Amino acid sequence: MNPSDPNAPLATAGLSIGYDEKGTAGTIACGLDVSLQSGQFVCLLGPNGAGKTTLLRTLSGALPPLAGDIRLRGTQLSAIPPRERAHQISVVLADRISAGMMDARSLVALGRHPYSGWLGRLNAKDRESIAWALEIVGASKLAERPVAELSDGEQQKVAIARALAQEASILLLDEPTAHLDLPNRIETMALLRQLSHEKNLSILLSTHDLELALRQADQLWLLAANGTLRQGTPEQLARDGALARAFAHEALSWESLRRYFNQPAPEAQSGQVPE
Amino acid sequence: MTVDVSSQKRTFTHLLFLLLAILLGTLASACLGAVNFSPAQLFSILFDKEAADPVLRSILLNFRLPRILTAMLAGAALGVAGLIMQTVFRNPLADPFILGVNSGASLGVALVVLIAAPIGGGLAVTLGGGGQIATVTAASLGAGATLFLVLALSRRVDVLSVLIIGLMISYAIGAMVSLLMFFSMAEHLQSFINWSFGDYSGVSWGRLSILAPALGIGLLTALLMPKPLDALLLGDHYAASMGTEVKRVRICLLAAASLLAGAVTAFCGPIGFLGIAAPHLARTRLRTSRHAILLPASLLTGALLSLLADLAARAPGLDSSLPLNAVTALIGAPVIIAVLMRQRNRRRLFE
Repeated sequence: MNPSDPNAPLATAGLSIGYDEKGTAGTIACGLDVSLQSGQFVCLLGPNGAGKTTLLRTLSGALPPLAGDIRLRGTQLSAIPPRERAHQISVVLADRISAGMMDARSLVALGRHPYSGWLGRLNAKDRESIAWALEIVGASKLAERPVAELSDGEQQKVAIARALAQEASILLLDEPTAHLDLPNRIETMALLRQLSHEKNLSILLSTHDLELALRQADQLWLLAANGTLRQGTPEQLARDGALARAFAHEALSWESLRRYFNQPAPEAQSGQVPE
Repeated sequence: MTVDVSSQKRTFTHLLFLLLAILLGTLASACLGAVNFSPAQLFSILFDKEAADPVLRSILLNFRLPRILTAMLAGAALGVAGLIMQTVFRNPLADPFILGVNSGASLGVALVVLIAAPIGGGLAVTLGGGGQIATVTAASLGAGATLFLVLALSRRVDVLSVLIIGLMISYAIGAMVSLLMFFSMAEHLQSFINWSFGDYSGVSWGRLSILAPALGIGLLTALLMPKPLDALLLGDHYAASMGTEVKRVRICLLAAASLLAGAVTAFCGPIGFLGIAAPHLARTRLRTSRHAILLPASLLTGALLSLLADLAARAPGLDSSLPLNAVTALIGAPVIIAVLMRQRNRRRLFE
């Protein structure tokens, strides 16, 4: 239904993910054939324990695949040297960043590591990227504040700014909205969607926020508890019942899901991000 | 940008202050001791060879200068090693000896002083020149063996496990040393205890010619790695995602830090406190987490603290030096506490 395109910015073929510990392979999901296109905003959905974080870690190269392969524009991920990989993929992890006395600007500046020399000295282009990234997430005013003193919402913005400053074409985010309140969740999702479309980025983010994902995502990746993954537009997956099956245990009313698709999606991204 | 400039200025002034303070400390260290010189005397001894009293000249050149150099180098080494350990383990309590190199060194020394010396040449070996060389060699071997053991065990595990492995090895070796001490005679115990007090005076020019290059290698390695250290502040996953080869870099950093700590321990005994204090002082004074600044700042802070501690240990009016370890902690701990209390965000060092 969704044939994996081998030359997509990110594509997998027959991918098995999980943790290989002392010979006993703990496979979490297998036979994954998915691809992420340019300018696409994709939400990775799935019940707790389905392996969303494991999939993101595998796709970012932090965890080796148990089988199958991952390709970045046709090149094997494992064959790309770390620095070059960092030019193509940046990540935002689920855990709060703890970085001592680091201020927000220095944190965002770390995103320029894949481009700078051994001392990490920043040139004009780097400073420009950092300022742009802070600006676009609405965190310019936070630049000189210590990261440790920022609120969860502010810190999440700065974490996203760091990933943007890395200027990779693929952005992988692990539950970036998990600790945020509703306005911040909506704002963050709208921002990422807007970025993917305007900057032609491929953005994949995992979330438990089904409602927002259904409204905002171009595509959904649906990772079921049995280790299978379906890729499709929110409407496709809602119509053929894949969503209802995947979240069967979460006491989700199918009718309420259906109602979403009878309403027009609100234009949450009206060009400017609200403060 | 204005903030950028003012923080650069602060960094520059602080590093300059450290350099000046080290210079003054060196001068004071050269002048004060069992025989006191005035600065004028000092210069005439140094630069007017004909007129100088050969005894005074010998005291200055053969005892005080190597001691000053040793103090500075050891302090610099411990400061940098402490900074590396704190960053790699993302733990403000980490010190240069967290992987157990000092236990390894003390086991080496204990074997020589408590077992080999009593069986072999007797006290002559322990106290004479030959004995000191044996001590240094044994301590180096012990520290080196511990380092390799920890690094070999920790190649495949995560960073927290490395920390625990280091601690466990430390405890195990400490236990062996306790057993050796339990079965030893009082007079041999005394020479072991003397070693464990820490002392810069035992390092002659000859030994400095071994110690200095070892520390030089460790310091240079560390100073070349500010960027991976910055990346490691965010944790392994982020560091890797930004192109850092985390495992290789970590082994390299741990090896450099342990070489620094191990070499200092082998030659000067286990010097506590400096390694944990210098990076904290550098961080709180400069309010930065950038290692391109913190590495040189910890190096200079360590050197300065070490010089001052050594100066205080040779308190005027005493025949022999006080235990260096006692001095570093007695003077240093209140200073660190005071500095931390004055910081607005004192609990935010790492969390």
